[in-house]
Amino acid sequence: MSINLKRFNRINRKKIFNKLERVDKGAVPAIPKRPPLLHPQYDIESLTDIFLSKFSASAASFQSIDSLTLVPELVLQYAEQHASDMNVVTNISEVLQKNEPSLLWPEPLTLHHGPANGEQSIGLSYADVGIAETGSIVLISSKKNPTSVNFLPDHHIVILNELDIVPNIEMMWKKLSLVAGSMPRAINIITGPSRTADIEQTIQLGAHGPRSLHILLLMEPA
Amino acid sequence: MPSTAPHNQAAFFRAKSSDALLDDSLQAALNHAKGGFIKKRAEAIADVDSFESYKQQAQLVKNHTINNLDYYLHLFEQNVEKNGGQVHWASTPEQLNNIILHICERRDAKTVTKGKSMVSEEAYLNASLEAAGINVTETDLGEYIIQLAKEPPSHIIAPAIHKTRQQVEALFKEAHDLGDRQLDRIAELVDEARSQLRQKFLDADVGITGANMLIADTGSAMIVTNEGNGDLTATLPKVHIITASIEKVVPDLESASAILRVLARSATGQAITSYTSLFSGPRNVDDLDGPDEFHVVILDNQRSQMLNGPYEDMLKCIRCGACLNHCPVYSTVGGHAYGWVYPGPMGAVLTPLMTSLKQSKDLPNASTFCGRCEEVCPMGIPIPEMLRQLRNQEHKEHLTPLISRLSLAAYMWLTRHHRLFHWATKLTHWAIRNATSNSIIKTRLLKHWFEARELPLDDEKGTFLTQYDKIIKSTVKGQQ
Repeated sequence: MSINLKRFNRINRKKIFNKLERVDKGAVPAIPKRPPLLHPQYDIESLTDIFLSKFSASAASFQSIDSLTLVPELVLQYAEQHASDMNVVTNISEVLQKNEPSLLWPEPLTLHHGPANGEQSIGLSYADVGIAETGSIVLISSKKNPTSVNFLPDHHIVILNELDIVPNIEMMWKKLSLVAGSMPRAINIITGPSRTADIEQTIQLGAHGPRSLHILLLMEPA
Repeated sequence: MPSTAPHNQAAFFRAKSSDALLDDSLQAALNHAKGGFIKKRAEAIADVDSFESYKQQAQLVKNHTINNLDYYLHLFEQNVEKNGGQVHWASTPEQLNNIILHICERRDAKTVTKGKSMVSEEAYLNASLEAAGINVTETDLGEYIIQLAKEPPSHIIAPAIHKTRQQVEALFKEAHDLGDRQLDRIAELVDEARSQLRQKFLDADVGITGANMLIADTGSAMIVTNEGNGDLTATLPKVHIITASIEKVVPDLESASAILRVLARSATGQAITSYTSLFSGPRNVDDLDGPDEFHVVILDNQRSQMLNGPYEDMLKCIRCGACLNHCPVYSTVGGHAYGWVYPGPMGAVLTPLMTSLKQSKDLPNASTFCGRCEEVCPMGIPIPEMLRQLRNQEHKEHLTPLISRLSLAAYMWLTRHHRLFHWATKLTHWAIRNATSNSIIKTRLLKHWFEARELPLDDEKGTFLTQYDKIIKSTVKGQQ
């Protein structure tokens, strides 16, 4: 193909922007100010309860834990009940070990690090934020959370600290303080397992992403 | 120049809708779908304190953005570049195809996986890539089904809504090596597609997805899905290309949140879809996965012509599909009858504006003006009013048949002559009454018409005008 992409682009860009000029532009300031928006408000005291009630609608499951030391044993239990093999892909074992240096992964679980490649039945991640309004967990792509772990394994187990739950979607963005130029590549707001209703409007879980989503909710001691 | 083959078929709306009415499996599929979306949407809306206030906030965002489209598109472009990605501009669908082909060929791409993108449907991108020898796989289940069937989508969010499970099974049997395996249950069909597409995801050289919103402030594309195919397409290949159009831009993430609140509720009746993802560029240095190239191709395709004119509000459309789901015409004839990419009420407005009114002149008339589309539109777009305007335009441009223009002129003349009009309605009333009592007309001449309809005329009461006069007289008498 013999097009000069840059030149082509410049010409098209000019053509489009010329047409976008508003007739009544005179009244619009150079830097437009977006009108203020209202956000749904939630009771800060009961964020965990709201999270769990919204979350249950998404066909995900959860267990509450009071310590990260329980994680390996619970992953094993989950794998035995649901998974077709004992391969776990995760990049958070260091994070877990930092809190509990003696953390042991029970046999026959096999831990894999790095991105998922479709050969592990279970992905294990640590959520950056939870959203009470929608019952969602939020995962930001990084060394600790490669995005493929959220989508390729059959089952996704995610640890969420209840202190990381924010009331609404806007508060989540605010908490992440995102700035162009230093954006994470991907941010996934995940609400339940993968699903489709493309055949006869019948909801079926596990379309292309995980067939199940299981949250380990780390509760603060009361 | 690649071929962008199948063109606007909207000129055949009448023939296609007649065929649709006689197509038993289409009618079975449509009947099956009927009401599902409507019920789910109603429940999702009842579940929140004030959906009206959600709608207001979302509309504030869209009104503001449309008024400052040039500013926000410019800001978006700057910020994508800051994130290490590239923005490309396409005035026409052909240009969009050329840009994407160029990117694919530079990377020597052999295989492409695609997430759902209506913008790419506008350009017939798949045909263009295939003509260049690139293997394209649609990965949204509905899109995959219709790709196997070699058909265009019939619904903007449920592309294969017109297929029954038996038809899907037949398509899979033909395309996959199933051996003796049966795929009777929907779960088995979904699993079959999952396993077939898994390797495609892993092998693809380039991933192409659409975008529900472009966020100017952070230079990101937001993609809303339920299956997770969009995320796999955006994450596994070496190159991620996003196809979007100029009106998809919003100022910032707070604005995007307001639109998210109405999008899934209006579309599938969910508070939020399984996956709402923000993609902001190629992989960062310490990322373990993700593409090393990130492109956003922004298409105009006549949208900028809608600015500053009577159809500007159409640029606020967020493609939720609520107007399709609630339309009595769409639910009877299905999406293919509309003949182009966008069906239903929103398509009846967009197709004439984006292709040609002359070729799609039946679409603005494919409406009963019941007004449900406007009622359920989260953006409050006055679709019936726009259809009315398009009808006016057709009349002015002499696109309607001469006979209908003459009849309208005659009718206008008649309504201005009261006595004559009164007499004419009485004559018509008499004629219709005769027709309904005359068995030859009923059983022979207008047989098919009467099979589906009745003409309940009351002999006693007479015409509307006769009844009206009676009521007025008796009211006047009563007042005296």
